[in-house]
Amino acid sequence: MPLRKPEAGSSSANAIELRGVGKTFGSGAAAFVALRDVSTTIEQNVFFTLLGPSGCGKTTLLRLIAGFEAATTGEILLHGKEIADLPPYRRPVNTVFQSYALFPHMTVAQNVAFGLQMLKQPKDEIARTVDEMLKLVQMEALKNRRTSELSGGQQQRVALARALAPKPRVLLLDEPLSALDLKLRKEMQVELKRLQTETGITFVFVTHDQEEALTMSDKVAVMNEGQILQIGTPREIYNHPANRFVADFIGDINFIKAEIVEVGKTRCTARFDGNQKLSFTPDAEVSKGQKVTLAVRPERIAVANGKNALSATLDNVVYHGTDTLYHFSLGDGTRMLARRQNSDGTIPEWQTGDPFGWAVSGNAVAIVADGPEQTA
Amino acid sequence: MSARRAAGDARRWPGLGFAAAVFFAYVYLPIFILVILSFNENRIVTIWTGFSLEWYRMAFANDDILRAAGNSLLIASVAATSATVLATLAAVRMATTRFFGQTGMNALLALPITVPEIVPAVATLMFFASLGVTLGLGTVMIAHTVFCIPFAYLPIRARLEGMDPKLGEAAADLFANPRQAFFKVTLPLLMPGILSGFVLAFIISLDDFVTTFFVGGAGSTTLPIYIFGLVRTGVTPEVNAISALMLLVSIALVSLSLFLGRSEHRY
Ligand SMILES: Nc1ncnc2c1ncn2[C@@H]1O[C@H](COP(=O)(O)OP(=O)(O)O)[C@@H](O)[C@H]1O
Ligand SMILES: [Mg+2]
Repeated sequence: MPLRKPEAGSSSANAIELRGVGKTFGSGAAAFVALRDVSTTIEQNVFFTLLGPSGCGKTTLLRLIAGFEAATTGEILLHGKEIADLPPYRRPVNTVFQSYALFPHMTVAQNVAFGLQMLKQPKDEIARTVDEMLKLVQMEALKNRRTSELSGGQQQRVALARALAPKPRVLLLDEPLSALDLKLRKEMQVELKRLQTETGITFVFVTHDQEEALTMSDKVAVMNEGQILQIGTPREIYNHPANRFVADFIGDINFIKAEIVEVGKTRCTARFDGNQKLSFTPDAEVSKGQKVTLAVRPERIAVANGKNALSATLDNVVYHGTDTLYHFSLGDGTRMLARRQNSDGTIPEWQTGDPFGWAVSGNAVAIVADGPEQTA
Repeated sequence: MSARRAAGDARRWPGLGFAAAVFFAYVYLPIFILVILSFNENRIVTIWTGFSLEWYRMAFANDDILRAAGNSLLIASVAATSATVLATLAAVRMATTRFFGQTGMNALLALPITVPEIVPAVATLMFFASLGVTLGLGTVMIAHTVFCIPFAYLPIRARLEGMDPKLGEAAADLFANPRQAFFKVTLPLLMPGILSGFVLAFIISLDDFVTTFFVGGAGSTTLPIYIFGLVRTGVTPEVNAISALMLLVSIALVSLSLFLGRSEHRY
């Protein structure tokens, strides 16, 4: 294993703590609030992802942690210590920049050695670490190349090696894979996850790609308009989105306006689309008569016949290779989507306007709050 | 009529080729003739009798010429060096921080290039006179430094503008303090711009007549001033030889500057 794990118990268990962090750019009429009241705790040794649409403040948050920008309000603690007074070059974190920001006048090896030289490490130790890092990212062969001669993927690896070389306990990564093509991106996702697990370094990873966030992270914080809307494991975020924005941003989802008409011990029944009824296990407190928005993932909707099936009208069927998408509408016009794996290879005959029977299992329904997306 | 032959197409205007030929002849023919004549054996400049390096030998044997050339090189070295250092500091500061009045300051930095040289020359003379400073090498060096700054500044600024601002942050992220970041990252990357700024400033100083004429004094005679003194009593082949040598130096420096400019693309 190439890197040391930080010794257990050497400091408080939290790598980063954000307490009411806010950032406003400019002042007066031109003031722009990029972050508002962001509070969260990032434990050691986790792969923590900030996920949100472009412009929601992800980069700004990373820049506050790295020290390139000062927070307007709140405090940032690194391993339990307030770091507001530390300039970036005194903060024990390293960054992989979105644009890589490799030094163009240096070779690959010189880039990786830079941080170690600034830390005044002995020459032989630097040489050893550089070799180790380049091996880690499989770039030993290109050690003496100039960075301008490298492909995007190779530059990405060098940027990673350079940031890992000083063995930081926290690594900040700003959309490091966004410039790579799909295949390489998938490879690097696996690679990064492996690196994080092996080194035990806390990764704070920024992305706007929900799939990337779900596949790589231990914890995901979903952001929008300068706020964190939900923090949880990928499963929690995906299966129990806290509000409409989160539900909508992470993958495809169906929203159904409904009213709770019956509340049982573990299950409840909701009425929707005039008089259709759906029975499910609620993931939040509900009371009889309450108006709710139900969220159901397309893959949790089954194509069903029989008398218990819910009814709808088929709009369109789209074949997608591995699966087939059924677009259908409820009687009240609500558009819905179901996804079914093409495991048996048959594609049904269909026509627009055909009746479409469907069903949902009781644990596939989430109740979502009407989030900022609607109030905004 | 085809669209390419439309009347408005300047490339099709009759006589354009002829005008171009006249232009090039007007600019380069006198220079060409001067260089040829500097190798003329005859004392009477305009009558060609044979090839000779006599005038070059005489120029190199003339103490006044050597002293003037020495002054020119000394002034150009000092002025170009000081101007380049100041211009580098100004450019870096302008690129790294925002402050009130920055746009205006940026314009003012380049403005002297467009001001008729006689104006600052007279003003500088009055300035030195009111201070009671004795005119000489020192005053010429100061004046040259000042008018060289914009010439050194522009290529450095252009180079900085093409530089990724994230590089400075990357250096800080890797524990380089502002000083180390400047010397290890910013300065090496600026080098091509700094060198071409230096060369430009050097040529401008070497070539200067007006400012030197006004703020110079005893012991600060430069080559242009010396040549001016010579031609007042008639153009001698010796003047041709010195001029040809100055041309050679300028061409060499410009080539160097272009070469350095091209090497920028490596980054
Ligand atoms: N230096 C700045 N001055 C003014 N506005 C800024 C500055 N940096 C970022 N912003 C604004 O803050 C918002 C969040 O930016 P950013 O953190 O880069 O978003 P993300 O990384 O999530 O795409 C954007 O609207 C952006 O325009
Ligand atoms: Mg960003």
